[in-house]
Amino acid sequence: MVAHDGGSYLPRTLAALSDQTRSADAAIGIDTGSTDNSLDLLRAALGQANVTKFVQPKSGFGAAVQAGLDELAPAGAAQHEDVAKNAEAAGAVQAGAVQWIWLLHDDAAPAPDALAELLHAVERTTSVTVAGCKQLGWDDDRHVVDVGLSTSRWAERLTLIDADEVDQGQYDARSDTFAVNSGGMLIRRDVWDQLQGFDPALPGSGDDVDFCWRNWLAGNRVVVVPSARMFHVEHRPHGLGTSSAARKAQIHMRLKHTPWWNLPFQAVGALLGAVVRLVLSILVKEPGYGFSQFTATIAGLVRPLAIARGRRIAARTRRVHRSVVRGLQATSREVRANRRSLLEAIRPSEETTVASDLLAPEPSGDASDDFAALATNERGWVGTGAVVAALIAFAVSFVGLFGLLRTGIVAGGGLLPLSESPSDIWANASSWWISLGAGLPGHADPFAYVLWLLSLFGGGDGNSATVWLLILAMPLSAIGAWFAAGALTTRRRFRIVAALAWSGAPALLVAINQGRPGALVAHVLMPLLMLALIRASGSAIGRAHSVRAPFTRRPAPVLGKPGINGTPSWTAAAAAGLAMAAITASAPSLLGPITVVVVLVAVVLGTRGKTMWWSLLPSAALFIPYGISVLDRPRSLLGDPGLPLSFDAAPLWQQFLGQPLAFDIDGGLTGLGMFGPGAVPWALVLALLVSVPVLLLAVAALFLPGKRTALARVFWLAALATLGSSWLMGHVATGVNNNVIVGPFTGPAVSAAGILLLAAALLGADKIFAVPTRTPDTVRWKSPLRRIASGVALALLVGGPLAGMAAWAGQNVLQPLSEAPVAADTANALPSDTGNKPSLGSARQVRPVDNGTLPATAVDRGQGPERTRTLVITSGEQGAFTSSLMRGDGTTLDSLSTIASARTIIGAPGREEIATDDAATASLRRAVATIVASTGVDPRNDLEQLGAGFVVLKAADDAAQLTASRIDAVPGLVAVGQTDAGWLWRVTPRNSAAATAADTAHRVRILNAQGEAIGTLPSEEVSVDAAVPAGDEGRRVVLAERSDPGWSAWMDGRQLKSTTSGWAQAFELPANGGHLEIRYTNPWGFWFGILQAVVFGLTVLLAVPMPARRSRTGMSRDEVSLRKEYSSV
Amino acid sequence: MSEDPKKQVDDNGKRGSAKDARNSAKDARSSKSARSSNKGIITGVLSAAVILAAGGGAVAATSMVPAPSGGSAVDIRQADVPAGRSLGVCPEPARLVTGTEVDTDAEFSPVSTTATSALNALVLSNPAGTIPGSKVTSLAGDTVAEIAKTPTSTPSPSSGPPVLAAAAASISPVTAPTVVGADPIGNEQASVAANLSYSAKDGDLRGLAAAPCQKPGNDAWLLGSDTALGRTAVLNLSNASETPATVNLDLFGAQGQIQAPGARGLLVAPGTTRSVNLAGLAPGESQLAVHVRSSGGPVAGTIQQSVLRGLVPGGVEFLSSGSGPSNLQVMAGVDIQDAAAIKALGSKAGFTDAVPALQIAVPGSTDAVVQVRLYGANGERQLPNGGVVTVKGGTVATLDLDGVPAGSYTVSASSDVAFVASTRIARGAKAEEPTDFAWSPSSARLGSQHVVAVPRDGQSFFSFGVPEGRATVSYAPVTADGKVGKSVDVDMSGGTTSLIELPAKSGQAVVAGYVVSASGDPAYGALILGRQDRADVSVLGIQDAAAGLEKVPVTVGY
Repeated sequence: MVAHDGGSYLPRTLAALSDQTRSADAAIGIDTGSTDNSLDLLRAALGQANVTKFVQPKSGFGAAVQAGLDELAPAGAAQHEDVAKNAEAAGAVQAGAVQWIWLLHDDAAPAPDALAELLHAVERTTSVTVAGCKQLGWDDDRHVVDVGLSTSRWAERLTLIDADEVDQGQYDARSDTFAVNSGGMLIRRDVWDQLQGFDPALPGSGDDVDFCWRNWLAGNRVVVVPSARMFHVEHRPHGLGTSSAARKAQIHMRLKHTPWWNLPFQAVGALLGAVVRLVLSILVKEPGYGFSQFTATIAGLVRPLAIARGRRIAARTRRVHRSVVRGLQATSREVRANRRSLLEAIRPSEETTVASDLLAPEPSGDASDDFAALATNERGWVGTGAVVAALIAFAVSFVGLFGLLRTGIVAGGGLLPLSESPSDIWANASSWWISLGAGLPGHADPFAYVLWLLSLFGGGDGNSATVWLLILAMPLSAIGAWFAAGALTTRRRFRIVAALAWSGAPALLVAINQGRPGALVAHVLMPLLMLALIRASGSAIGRAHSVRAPFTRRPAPVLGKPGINGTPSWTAAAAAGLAMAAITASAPSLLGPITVVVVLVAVVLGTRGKTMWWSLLPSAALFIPYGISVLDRPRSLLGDPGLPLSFDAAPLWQQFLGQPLAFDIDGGLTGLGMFGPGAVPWALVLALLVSVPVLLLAVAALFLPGKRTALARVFWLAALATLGSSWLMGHVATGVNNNVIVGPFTGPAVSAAGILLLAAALLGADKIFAVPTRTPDTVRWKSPLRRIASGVALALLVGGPLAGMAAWAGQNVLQPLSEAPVAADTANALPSDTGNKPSLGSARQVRPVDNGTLPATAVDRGQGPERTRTLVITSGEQGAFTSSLMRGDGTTLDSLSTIASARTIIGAPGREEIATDDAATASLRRAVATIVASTGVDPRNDLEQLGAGFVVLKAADDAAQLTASRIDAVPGLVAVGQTDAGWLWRVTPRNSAAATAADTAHRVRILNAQGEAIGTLPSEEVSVDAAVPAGDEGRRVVLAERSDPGWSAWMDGRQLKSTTSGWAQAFELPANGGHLEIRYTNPWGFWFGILQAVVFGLTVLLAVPMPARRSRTGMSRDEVSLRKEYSSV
Repeated sequence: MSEDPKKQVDDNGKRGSAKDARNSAKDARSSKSARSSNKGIITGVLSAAVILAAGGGAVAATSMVPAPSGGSAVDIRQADVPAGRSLGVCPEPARLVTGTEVDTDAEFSPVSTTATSALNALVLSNPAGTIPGSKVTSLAGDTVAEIAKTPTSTPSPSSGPPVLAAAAASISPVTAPTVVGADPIGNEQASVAANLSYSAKDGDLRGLAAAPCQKPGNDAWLLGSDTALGRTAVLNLSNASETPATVNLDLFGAQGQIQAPGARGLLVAPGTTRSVNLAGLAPGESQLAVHVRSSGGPVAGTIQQSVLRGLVPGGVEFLSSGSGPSNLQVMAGVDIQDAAAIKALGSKAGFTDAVPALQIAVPGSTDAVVQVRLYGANGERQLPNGGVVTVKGGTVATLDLDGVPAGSYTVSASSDVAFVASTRIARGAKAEEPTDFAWSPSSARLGSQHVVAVPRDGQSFFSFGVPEGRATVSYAPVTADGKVGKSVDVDMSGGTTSLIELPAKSGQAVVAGYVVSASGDPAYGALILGRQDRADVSVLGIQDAAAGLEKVPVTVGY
């Protein structure tokens, strides 16, 4: 007798065994290392001698049976043996000289006449070597589990029994069947030995099917004996018959019973099937099931030895052609019909749930089904508040930013124009070579992917999309906050307050005015992340009638719509993941705090927080390639995307008030003379007005007892953590632009803390104003007082944001951006009023750009095959010059890199300085100095090395005219004239031979052995693909890029030796010409790309809201049906 | 995450109402629940207080330590400018304007038969004694003479006192504009100075004229030209670069800016000189300031100014550019002779420009109130009218210095508006005899190691002026054979001017020039040239010292 933790079933099973009308001749028991009293029970029932132990954790039923047989009833020695899996070895029956083995499970009790019926059946014909029982429910003996088994064409184990099917004798006519359940399987001993028992590679599920399959192929028959009944436990905890074991068995059997030539096709088919299953399972929000199936498939596929062994054994006993069993397998039509009926059995119960949902008095969440259903009620459309708030925000934003509509391109502050097409942006975003200046290795910023999305939203025009993003940032924030508020409060007025507060948040207004794209996107998306996280953990506010779930570690027992009442939502978790990826890409300094908070919450919530782990995946996938390339300069990880722009960080108490930039208490309001510095501290008044009502409510939420105080505490703790970590990170310098070292912007952290405190305030408001409705009688006299108080509070709550927005719009209108000189882009960006008291708010720095960054001639060559670069020199104050080496049509926002901006910073936090120039930067500086000093020295050596074919002088003052005149005299520069984008000079090539071929510098040059340029090659942005003519020995092809081991070149497929030319990457060219290919490759790049694609693909699938209903059991329909299939294994 | 107290209350309440019948049980339960609910409230309040205290503590703590700045500017990195060739473009000797009638009468022939010209160049070694390769070429680049060969090796400067050497060249006569060029040594520019001197004893262009060989530039102010009757002003623009230059001239007269269509877009081809007769652009202007702006190649511009009063030559001079517009202009080497004779002469018709005078041009539109001070040998000399003159914006004004007693002076002019200035020096007191004049353009303060080339004939004087404070000026003679002599220190107190006559020879060797250095408060200097027993005069400003290692602040952005 074999048992494994079957103590609760064994007594009945053993009793049933002993009650057999035709008792077994011998019974042996095998215990497979039970931890309960199974062994003792077996010994008591069967006797010490007939019980053995078989402890091999990884083996299954078949191995246990085989071991029991070998030990206690060796073939020929003992006369009669029966063995039962995991339970009982029952009597072996002697029919003539033939020994039969009756396999019994510890959780399956045979009916008293079962053995007799079986023997009766096998006695009729000798061709039957395997007979099985009708499986009925353990508790409910009218519930059919299976009557014979079948498989689909894909070797899936099938019972083809409907859910809740009742035994009315409808299957009693069955005889020959594909397979029978191993519980109660009667096997002729010689066949058992001939077939070498069950396949040990199938420990859990499908071993019976496999055995019967081989039995058929050996020329024998398998019958089910419906009159022999077996009462089998369904849904046994910790059983081996899991869906993943079934999948594994399915794969194994598929590979085992297919002709050898079909093996690879089957394997690939199985893999594809697994992928499809994974995608489908994610679509129906059961990623756990999908992954277990996927891993089971992989596990089934990667056992070539077991498969080979199984195939060998099967081949040895096969007598008849494989197609013999085909007729016994279920047709796909039967399978589909069975599935459909299973689903129909599940569905009706859900419709009642839906009906009860409609009774919900208050809607919440957004319009998508998965977040919350919008229901109408007599108070009018629920979305009116969102529309009103968005319209107000749009009006303010339109007034404040009207000037931006003038043109399709904006720049200024941290903004630069974007590349023209989404494909260019994508190329920049996914590149491992940073095409900035002289180039440098490293992965592009994750933010470039956000820009790519932005340009897709803009219909391919990223610059227009940027303009609209700036203008729509406030209304979008309002709508986002309105939706997020729906998860926390059911009161519409507070949702409007939240929408206004969020769209008028100082952090947003500053981000718009200073053109900080990262902080802006993060602010707009933050409510969505908040909403998605709340729903992912199931903490959103639920229906009035449903059970309120406080913070518990377990999912709520009553399973309703995901996202509320403690039911975790996969959709929301995936949406949170996408929002988090976008936010962390936009504000990398938030990556740490958000991750820590989410991990802590997920850990604390336990299984209820399981979905939250998924939300970390997209950010991780996004940042891994980037993180790998900044291992040596980790400070890049904190850098804000966009141009490094310095600012005056606010002290922590001002950050609590939602102000990212420092202001002086009596510093007045920026740009509003009326509210300038004076007796009334306008700055403080406005800052307090904007934030204090919200803060007070947030504090109230902490103290007022209520159902969601714990949530408020989480919000507060997260806000504190965010601000604290931001303050610490602020000490780390992350970017250099010209001579300014800047740290991470405080805006994103202030935004994050702001939304958390706003959420806490919503909880607080809900509590304060909920009290009177709950206590109608005793405090009725207070009612008018309360009403007045709440009116005042509401006026304050609405008035603060409105005042802030009005001040912002007024300052933008009254102080329209002076035609800022072009130099402001690149010149010293320190706040000009550092000496004065900083006022509240920030002057608008974004401005429309009418003409391109570079003159059209330079752009033409920069984007052509020449890839000519342009050296842009800007004359600044006190004789200083700023310079930049631009590619293409000028440096674009998507080509900027935090790696590049942090590269030159050295030193401990707080004491950073700029490192000594490397050769390329020194060359650039020297070229600029040579040109502007105009001492008659030829700058072309440096310029050609840098690939610069044009020089542009942008000027802020009249002195530039003189500088321009001086530059005219620089040898090698030919004045083209004054363009919209500045004075332009063309650099004439030094070598006349090269000059005949092309009249401007190229990115890729060919140098002869003496180092003279003898030719140029066309190139792409990064790679080169060109034909090289034959020439002399000792030629080199030189790229105007920093040398790096990642560069590699092939000539007609042959790899070229890498070398350098100064700081530039070069390759030795053979004398004979050929087709030259140069690429920059990262060995991990491809795999990271795959990883990102998979993670994002799956997350998007998971985030797609599906109107799929959940079954009562909370499982997907697929899993429900599978449970039925395998429950009785 | 503590258990929510309110929740417990609710739960207990529900449970209680469901079991109304069992009152005793309910009582026991509710008292128990009240206890646990109290406990829950206390924990809740405590945890809330802890959270708030943490927030307050963070604010308090961070306000005590330095906050992150958000952004800080660092010093802009200086980029070394590679030293280029030191260039000096020398004017050609004075020539008659083409079209001048040449009479047969030898006595009154405008052609000067006695005209001589000389180019004197001096190249100083670096501290290690290496003399940079240098030569005199034509504008087009053809070598005229070599001053020093390109050194084969450049020993690195050793510590200790510098070992100076020099090379000098003197070319006579000179027939065309020339360029004096010297290669840089390492990353330092060569110290080179050269001048062209012209003198004639007869003809219309009688007198002494000298001009330093200037570094070509794109912006220059030339003061002192005169296109009134009998005055001839010819602007010579030389382009020694390989880039064509387009020159625009802004002309300022006594009444303001003069619009002259021919003054725009003058093309000067590489390696050529273009002459412009200013009378064709601004006729009849007795005080004319020319602002030369060139785009493309840099040009060197000089004006050949000559005066003919009837048949009597009134002198000739090369006007060269001084320092650019500034609030303070100082002109050294203002040597004034007999005050009474000058006054008498100046009062005669046609002789108003035969007196010393200060000319001021104001480029901008704002009027300039200029305070003029004169520093003589014995200190500051008051001007008769108090020395304050108001010059309208965009005009040129002349302040006569005819009331000043004889002596050598330094003129300092200051205003709160940028202006340019130059001072005229006149020689000759008799109306019937030929006179001569010179212009001393404003100059920069003396630094260290200015190289001054001195013509080998005639008299020469150094005039040093120290307007304020105290300064020491030292000068060391350099002989034609390249030796640098012992330096002579002149200690000067503020407000004084020293006139030093220079010997023709130092020891046995001919003096080719001097190395002049100054320390202390700002000092200014000029070289005055003259002829023994003649009314000839010319003033040469001391050229800027070699720039040494030049740096430009350059930042690198995106």
